[in-house]
Amino acid sequence: MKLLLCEDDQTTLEFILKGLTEIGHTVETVTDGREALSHCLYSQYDVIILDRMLPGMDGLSVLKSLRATNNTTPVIFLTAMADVEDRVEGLLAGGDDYLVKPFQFSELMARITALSRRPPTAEESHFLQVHDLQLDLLSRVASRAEQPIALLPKEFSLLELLMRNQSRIVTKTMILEQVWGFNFNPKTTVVETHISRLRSKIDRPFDVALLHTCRNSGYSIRAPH
Amino acid sequence: MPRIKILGGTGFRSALYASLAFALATLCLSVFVYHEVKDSLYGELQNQIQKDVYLLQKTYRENGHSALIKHVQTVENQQMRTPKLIGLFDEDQSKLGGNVEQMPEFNGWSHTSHTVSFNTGGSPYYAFSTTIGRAKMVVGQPLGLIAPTLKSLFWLLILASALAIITALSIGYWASRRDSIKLKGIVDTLHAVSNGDITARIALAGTDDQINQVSRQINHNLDRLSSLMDNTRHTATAIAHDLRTPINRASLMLQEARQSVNKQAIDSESMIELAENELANVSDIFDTILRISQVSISEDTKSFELLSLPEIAEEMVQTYQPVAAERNIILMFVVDQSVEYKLHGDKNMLRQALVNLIENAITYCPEGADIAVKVFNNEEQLLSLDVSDNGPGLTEEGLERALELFYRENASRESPGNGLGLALVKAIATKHRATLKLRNLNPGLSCSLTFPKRELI
Repeated sequence: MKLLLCEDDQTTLEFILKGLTEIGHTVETVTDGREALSHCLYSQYDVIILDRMLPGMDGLSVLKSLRATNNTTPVIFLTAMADVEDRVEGLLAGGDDYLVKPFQFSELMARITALSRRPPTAEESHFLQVHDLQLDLLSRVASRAEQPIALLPKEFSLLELLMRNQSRIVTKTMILEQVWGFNFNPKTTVVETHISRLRSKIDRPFDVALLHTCRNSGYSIRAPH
Repeated sequence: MPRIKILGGTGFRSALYASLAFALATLCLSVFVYHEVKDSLYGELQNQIQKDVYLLQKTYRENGHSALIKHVQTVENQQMRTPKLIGLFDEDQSKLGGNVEQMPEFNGWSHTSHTVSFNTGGSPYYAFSTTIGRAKMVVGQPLGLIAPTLKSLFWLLILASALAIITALSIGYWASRRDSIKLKGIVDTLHAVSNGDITARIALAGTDDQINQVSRQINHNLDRLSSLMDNTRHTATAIAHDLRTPINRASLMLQEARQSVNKQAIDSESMIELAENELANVSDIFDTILRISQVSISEDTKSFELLSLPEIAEEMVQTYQPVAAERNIILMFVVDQSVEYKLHGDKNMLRQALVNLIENAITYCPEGADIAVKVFNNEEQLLSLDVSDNGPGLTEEGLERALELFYRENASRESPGNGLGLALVKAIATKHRATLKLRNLNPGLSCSLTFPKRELI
């Protein structure tokens, strides 16, 4: 994948660059807002990673100018906490996402993957399937091996999120944001508890486990090889 | 005080504009008065002269040329010592009678400038000259008092205008000076504040004018500013103090991890993970502090919408029931479903407040405790949200200080939490103009939020 990384802190830049290059992405880097904009305008990228605070031109202005030229490349915003609620969230369009600094590299990776593989036209299927686990989004019924599974509303949303991103890692923060609408980190093990409940319903009675915990990064649902 | 500042003041400038307008008005009025007075004085003279002319013409018409000469001579004799002017001349310019020596060259009315030709002692006259038969007649009245009267009237009007303008300007100067003194007080105070004396306030003196009102508002703002500064200073100290511990711990763990790497031991990874957790904790503390300050400082409520409080509360209870169940704690939701409990609020903030209260209860209650989340109207019919448990409650000191940043009842750094949860709830409550009250239930603790009456929309 071809990525543009705009970050003015050299240490962070090199860290992210190294991580992304190691997993096979092509990454171009810029450290100035104006430079970022001209790169975006003259080259095509799959995902743009944009720091909120950039010299020359701040990230939000870069994003606004970019959108003004009808460029719809997904953008991941790197921002400080204080900016999230009132400024950034409202400006991001459907294809965009944000990450609050400091963040785990795995978190950034998961979000790049989620953004880049999202189909450009939202051709929504009402039916999700992983191995023998099925989810009917219209009738809101889950079943595995033809046996219906009773799920609570939040458990259903959680499973839906995991299945939409099957074979990819969904981080704890993504779950909190998308299932509960939390933009903060609870002190207790809410996500772990709900995952374990879900697991006891969809995996435990069956031979093959589909829901996997990826240590230090998140959860993933996938069919056995 | 520099004069230029006073002259630049609004008081003086308004006075200046006012006196310019006044001067213009006085000028117009003076011109008008001067002309009216002049016209009426001359009118009076003309009347007298015309009366004389009429009498002479009448004599000529009724009794002829010689009677006219006689009449003139009689008038001249009667008038020897009066200043009236009378003269009659033949066609060849020879004097027939009267006190004028030389025949005037004008016909009709003439002004003082022509009176020099009258040999009567040089005082100015206003005269009328006309032919009567073959003779030429001139009749005049002394201008006497008219010129000096008009002259003094002219100077009087100038003087009055000047006096009025000077008075207006003086009042303006005085007002401007008074305002300047007050404004200087404001400038001095603001200067003192910007130099670090946050206790400086503007002295309010004299009448309650607009400057005093502005001063009072500035003082009010300074009060608010200094309380915010105190708050910030306190927070900064608390942060510096409280962040040192996790950072120290992380650094110790990293040192140990390095040593274990050198010794080829196997637990270096878990050490690094512990250090990471400590740093995550640090970043969490920062996030929470930023949230608190963001919630308390921002005055904008554009994220507010009409919400159903029971809906949010029930969702949070359902979310946390499994978490509570892991510790054998029963988490209940109590609400009278037949009542609508709506409020204006920010959904994310209210969720966070509830999460903090519920998580506190789950964390600090022993296994097997009960927690109840209630939504109800209190005795005063105000919408209330209460999270209560039957756990250990708080000490007296704890009840008082629980809302302070970083306060933890069990001050050991090993105990869970960072002492910011309730402070954030408090900030969210304040943002919603709600009150947060903690009380011991003996046993247990009740945290309740009471919202103000909802304004009609």
